[in-house]
Amino acid sequence: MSSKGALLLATPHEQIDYIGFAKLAAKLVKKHLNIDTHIHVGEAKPGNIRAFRWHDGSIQKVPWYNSDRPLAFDISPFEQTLLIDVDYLTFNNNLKSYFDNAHEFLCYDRIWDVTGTDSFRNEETMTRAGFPMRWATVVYFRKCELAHSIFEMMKNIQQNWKYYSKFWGFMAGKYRNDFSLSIAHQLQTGYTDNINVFDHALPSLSTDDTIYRVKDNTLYIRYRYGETYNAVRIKDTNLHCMNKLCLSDPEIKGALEDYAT
Amino acid sequence: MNVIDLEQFARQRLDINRQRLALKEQQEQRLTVAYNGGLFCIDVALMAFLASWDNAFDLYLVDSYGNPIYIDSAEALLERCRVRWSEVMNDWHNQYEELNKVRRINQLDEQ
Repeated sequence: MSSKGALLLATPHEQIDYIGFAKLAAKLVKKHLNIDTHIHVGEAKPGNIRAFRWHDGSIQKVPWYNSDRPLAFDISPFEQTLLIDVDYLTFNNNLKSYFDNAHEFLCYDRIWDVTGTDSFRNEETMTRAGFPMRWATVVYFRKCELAHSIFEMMKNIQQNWKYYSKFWGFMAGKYRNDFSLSIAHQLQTGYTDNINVFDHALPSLSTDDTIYRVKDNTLYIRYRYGETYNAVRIKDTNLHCMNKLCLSDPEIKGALEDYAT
Repeated sequence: MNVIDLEQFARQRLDINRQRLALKEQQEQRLTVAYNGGLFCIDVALMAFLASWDNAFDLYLVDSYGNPIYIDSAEALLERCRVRWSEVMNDWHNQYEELNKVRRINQLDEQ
């Protein structure tokens, strides 16, 4: 039986506790998938800046350390790896069924806004010309030729970001792993790939919406609905929580920690 | 949000349709089963087919990824499908029944 585990890439950050998030995400993986976890703490390489608009209306500009993801293949100590973002909360064992099968590389090609308000409508494609989007949030890969070539391609795209942005037709403002993966994934599979993707959509919560309560395996989510707010409850559902501000809330973080342990 | 906003939020009528759709998506994502290296989406057609298959014949099924998978025992796959189907549909039904009683956002917490 080959080794399998989850890899989480975190970087020390002045304002957002990515390492704390990684520890929490790793505990949730352990609880539900019962696989090993490896947290790689990378070097904070300045360069990228990202502005987050949070649910309370505030806008926070922070350094964005995302340059390590193309190194995941080299870093991973596992034969089969589930590479996950540190803000991805595992609440069920669905992802376990992708291990020990014939899959070589899997990522998400669809996103599901759990609030049903279509928050990601502008991100369904990578460019206005409709180049298909792939999400680097959760990636399954084996130590195989295909996965190696995709990650090597991502390194090349990262190093030649401006060239690729002009060629594909997107803004070169900041390096983004989702775009890099989208290009590499298509280039290495002949532009026809609808096989190396998960068979369901990535459950996600935008930075505008927030978890306002955690009760065991149930997340209560408040979302903006026109000028007011409404709520949705999800249970036993994995979630890519882009709202790091709510994950930093002591009450929410504490409840998630309690659930994870 | 200040205290007044929070109170209004709690009293607001729940958008039951979005909650119903979220519940549907959550549960449908769980309706998969792995078998012999393949991954199958469980539906009534698959279960009916497996139940009617004559085990005297070899069975190959195309999985969610378009790969032909050898099914060494239709009964064993059917059993896995049944277990997962019952688990998911039971959860789905229970949660749906609970939701039918919810009218205001604050009632979500009481379930």
